[in-house]
Amino acid sequence: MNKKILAFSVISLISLFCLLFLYFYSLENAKYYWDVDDGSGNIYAPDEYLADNPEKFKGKDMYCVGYVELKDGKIFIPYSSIFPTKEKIKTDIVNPEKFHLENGKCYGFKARITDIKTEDDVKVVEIYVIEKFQPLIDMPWTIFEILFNVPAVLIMIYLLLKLKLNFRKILIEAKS
Amino acid sequence: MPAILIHLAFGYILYWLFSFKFRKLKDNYFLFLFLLGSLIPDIKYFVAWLTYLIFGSENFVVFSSLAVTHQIFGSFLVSLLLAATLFRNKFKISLVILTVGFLGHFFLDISQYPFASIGHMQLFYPFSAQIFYINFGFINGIQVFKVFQYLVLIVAIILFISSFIRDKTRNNHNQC
Repeated sequence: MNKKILAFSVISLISLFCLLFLYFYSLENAKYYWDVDDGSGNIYAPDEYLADNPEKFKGKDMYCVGYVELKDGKIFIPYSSIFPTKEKIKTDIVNPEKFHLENGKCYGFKARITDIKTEDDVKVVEIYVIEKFQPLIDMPWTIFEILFNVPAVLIMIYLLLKLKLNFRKILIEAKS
Repeated sequence: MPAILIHLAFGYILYWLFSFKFRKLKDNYFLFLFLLGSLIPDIKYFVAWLTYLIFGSENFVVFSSLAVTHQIFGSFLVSLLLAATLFRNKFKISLVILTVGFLGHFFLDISQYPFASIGHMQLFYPFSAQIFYINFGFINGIQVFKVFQYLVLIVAIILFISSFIRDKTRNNHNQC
């Protein structure tokens, strides 16, 4: 039994060590993540990288999705993500008149990056929309988040409680 | 990424398919493992939130490195870690189920093309920048994947209700 616990402890430590290695390796090699072509000429890059390296991306095609917001006669796609700092980057559609867009609705776009500017500490990625895609179900982001994430968390908690996994026992076994 | 509930629904379908073929797997313990496996790649969001709350990090290099848990190597290592610690009583089967679960997650993520984020398609990051995707295409300006993901949810709900009714009927028969 003790041998078994020792073996599992070694496996756990090795996997933890490998995860840490992967983490630090990717810190050094994060460039892989930043600028990738999908083979059809469309670029993939995190918004921050795109905003910090405008000269690399002007004239390139990209796909983006977001809720459009009518502001000062312009249409913005506010970027929503887990980091609040990302909210400082916005996408501005330069040809909204070509498409029928409604305020507050979510659309997908195939677009060309025309310019990247800085306006009052907000980086604005200007895009020329080539194609617009419709959402299947139209609902506000908050409602979508509640409907599709909260039940999932509840299901996992319910199953966890039902299984009564004995974490205390596991910890005590590990100590001894 | 598709919403957490969609990933869970796909995990449930995988559980149903596997438990249909291997009757021994028809248990809440294995159901939990399938669902947990289908959420493993998204652990990065929880880690990222924690990192942000603790360190207030605004460095996207750090965040992009967290994506290591959202790649095949990283997810496998997380599965290995979980199987060797929390689920070590059934180590081998737990590792296999968690692996099937996270592969299902990747299938859904890469099917989101062209609206998947780059980190969801670079399956071998940080060792390769290659992106992998399945393009379902568009019908009348609507992404087919959107239809597919709701279909996954509906199928999972139907399977859940049918197995719930079957279990109830079986219990009633046994009581009679």
